[in-house]
Amino acid sequence: MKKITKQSLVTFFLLSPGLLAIGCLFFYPLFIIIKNSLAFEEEHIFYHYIKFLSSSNGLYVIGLTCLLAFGATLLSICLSILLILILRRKPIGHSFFKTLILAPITIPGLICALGLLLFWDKNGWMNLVIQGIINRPIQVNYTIPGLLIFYTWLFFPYTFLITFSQVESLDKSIEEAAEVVGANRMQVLRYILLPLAKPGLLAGSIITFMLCFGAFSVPLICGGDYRPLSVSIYTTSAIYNRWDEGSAMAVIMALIQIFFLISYIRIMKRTR
Amino acid sequence: MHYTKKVLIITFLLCITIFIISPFLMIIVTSFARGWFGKQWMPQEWTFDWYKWAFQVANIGVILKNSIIIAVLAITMSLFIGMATAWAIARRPVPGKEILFSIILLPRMIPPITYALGISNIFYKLNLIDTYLGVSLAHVTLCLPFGILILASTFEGLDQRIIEAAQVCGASRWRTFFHVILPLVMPGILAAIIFTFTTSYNEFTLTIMTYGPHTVTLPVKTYLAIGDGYWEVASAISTILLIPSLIVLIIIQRLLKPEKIVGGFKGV
Amino acid sequence: MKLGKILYTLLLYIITFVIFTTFNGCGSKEKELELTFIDTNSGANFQWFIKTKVIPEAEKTLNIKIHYVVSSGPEIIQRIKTWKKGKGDIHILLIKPKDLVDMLSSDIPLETLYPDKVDRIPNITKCLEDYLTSVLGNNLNGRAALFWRSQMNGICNGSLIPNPPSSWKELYERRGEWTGHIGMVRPDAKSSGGRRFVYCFLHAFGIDFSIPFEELKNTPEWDDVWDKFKELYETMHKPLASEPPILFNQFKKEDVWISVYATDYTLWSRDKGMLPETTKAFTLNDGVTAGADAYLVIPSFILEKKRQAAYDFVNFLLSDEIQLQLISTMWQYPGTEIWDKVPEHVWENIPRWEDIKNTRIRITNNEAFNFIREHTMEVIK
Repeated sequence: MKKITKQSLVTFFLLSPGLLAIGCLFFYPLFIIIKNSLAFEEEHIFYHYIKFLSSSNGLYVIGLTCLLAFGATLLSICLSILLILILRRKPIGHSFFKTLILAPITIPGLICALGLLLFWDKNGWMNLVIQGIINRPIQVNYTIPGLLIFYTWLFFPYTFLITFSQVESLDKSIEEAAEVVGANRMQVLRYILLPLAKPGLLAGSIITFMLCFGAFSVPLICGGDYRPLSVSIYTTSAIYNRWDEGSAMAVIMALIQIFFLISYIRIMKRTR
Repeated sequence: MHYTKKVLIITFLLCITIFIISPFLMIIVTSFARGWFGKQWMPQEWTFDWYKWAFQVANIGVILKNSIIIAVLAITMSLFIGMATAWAIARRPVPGKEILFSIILLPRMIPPITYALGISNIFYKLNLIDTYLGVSLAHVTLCLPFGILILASTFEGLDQRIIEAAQVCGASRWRTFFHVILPLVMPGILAAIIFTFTTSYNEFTLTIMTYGPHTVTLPVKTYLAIGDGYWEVASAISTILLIPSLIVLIIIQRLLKPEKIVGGFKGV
Repeated sequence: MKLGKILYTLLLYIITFVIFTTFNGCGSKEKELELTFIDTNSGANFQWFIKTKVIPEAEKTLNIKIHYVVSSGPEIIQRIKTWKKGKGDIHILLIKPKDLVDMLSSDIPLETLYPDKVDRIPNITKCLEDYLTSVLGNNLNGRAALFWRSQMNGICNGSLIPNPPSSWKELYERRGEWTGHIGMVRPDAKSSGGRRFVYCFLHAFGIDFSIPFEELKNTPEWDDVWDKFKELYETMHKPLASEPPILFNQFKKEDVWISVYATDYTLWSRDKGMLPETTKAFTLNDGVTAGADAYLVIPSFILEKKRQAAYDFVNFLLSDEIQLQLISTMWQYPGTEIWDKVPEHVWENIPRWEDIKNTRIRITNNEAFNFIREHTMEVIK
């Protein structure tokens, strides 16, 4: 008995630095934010929450953030499936392609944002191509579809890489067996591949979703008039100096994120 | 039929490639261009002025130094703190391991902007704003969970029998550690170093809440250059910034499993 | 172990780099007198100017070494507050009027340059006394020297708008001619350009900013003028630029033809090839705000030897040579009164000082200015 306590003491000792650091650098700041967001001197302790949630702007901002996050996640899933179907057959240059897809992950988001803004600009290369076809430029920067494209560009590699690593390890013979039995391509895709790739897709897309939901630097630069939660929090607190309101918004954002995470994990568990 | 399909696939891949590469090419071209306004594919006048500017006025050298010092501090701290914890999680009986793990990973799951406000609040009181220690401590919040995740999975993979075999053969504790354990876990530690480096090097949200004039890092400088400088200069800075990122990219692709990086999302 | 090798080499490079840079910093010669010059006012253009033109020339003529550091005003003020006598490590500051007022109100001891040190800094007599005795309505008592005067003006693309408007009212009336091509920076941006735009507009349409804001916002004129601004907003290019570089980008793409922005920054960018060559400035005779004027101050708590060198440096900055460079290459109005020496071609680029000095608006109503920053975007929606 005594030995066990000694052992668990050592375990506790080993665990403590990490937990202490997380506690000081994460939970304590979180606690401070919650404390700041409560209005002790107003008539209602949740004054800032109610003010934000009851204003038309507040709901609009939350809606916009969710729209962008869900839209970009959906696009990433579609793009990833398409790419996986192609790259599974290992066409020419597939390893180069896999390296390429790492670029949006390892390169700082701000540089990507600058590049995207330049590329999709009215005089950017993309619009030069488009003008060659339909004779007038289309506005992409600072629009919702534009933001969706940017988000997808930046965050789809996460979905793709996780799903791909999972699909790659699958046994090819299942697919071949299905083909031998006489299933056509669509059937193989619908009944064999997708169900097998589903856990990977879910695990990958949740990361993409989390990143889209919390994205900060990209909408800060490319958002124009569209300012999702993260940017609103930043402007309210760091630029307008209204830290209590900003804190309330931050807590709301964290709660929404946790809600989505839990529901996502539930779905994932059910599919297993 | 077969032929057209092949062509279609290749065109599709080519399009995606162009979509991914072009923004970076556009940055590089912009960084050398002067007066590139109209509807032209390429600028008519080329110049090195923006690079001169980046070094002379934007002090890119000092900023690169800041970034690296902060990254090295953040990596060292995260690894020192993370090593013990990861070892305990991986190789010792810990009650509620899953819950513990999700607590440790929580900072990566909640948008950093939410607790960045709190961190800057605390750091203001402790006078940690605009110090290397302060900024790198803020980075530890994101680097540590990632470090623990990678280290724990490495330690888990250690085979107890090898360690026992070494001890049976008469190796002392230190000898076992240096000659058996260390070589076995080294790739994992290196992976942790690389991934925490990317995290710290790309981190923006927490940095912008804790930085000051003496601790401007490269992402913050890019933001400032995009926000109140010139895009030409911002492009030049970005092109310089791209180089370390590309080195890391090649290292990851060549030597590590790219899937691993997705556990550590870059500083969004 | 290929991975190890590569990483070790990389690590080695990084360590050498860090050591090299640190030693490089320490190794500079201590023999020369060193001054630390903190700049909390300059934009990208003036950082370039000071760093590449002013400092090298000053080092050569005065035989001193100058550390040029760009920083933020509030942060520096916090730092100076903790100084003890003779321990100060900042010898000259270039600051905005707002920060200067903060410095004065937090009782940071500053050297009195005018008229006490006229014999050490003869060039200071060329500054208008009015600017040296008061700043934003506060008593300055000669504790700072004026380096430059910054001014916003109308800017337009001359090839698209050959006859720009001469007043805000005309801009408002002729807005139909430029539908979709009037540019503005968002008032809630980091840059104050957009806020100043709105402030001037309100001023030109008869808002009296000397009335306290609480009263002002309940007057009928207040609502009227915002309706007018909304009409102007209807014809602006949307979305508004989130920061100045985006406004510049809109200029490049010819999405925006006309705006009101800092003269020096705009024209200098044009010279550097970052804006169309046809960009030009024009006056609006019913008033445009001043930008951030630049003041030079010397804190008292520094070593005597350094203080003497700092006087020389201030004198150098106010010399005709530098001041003329300010107006003729940077398009910034100088701090000293040297109008008769300014070459004629300058006035082809920027409006004459006589034309603007009487209509120059200074921001006096801070509450209103804050209201503009935080609520303009809601009001015009």
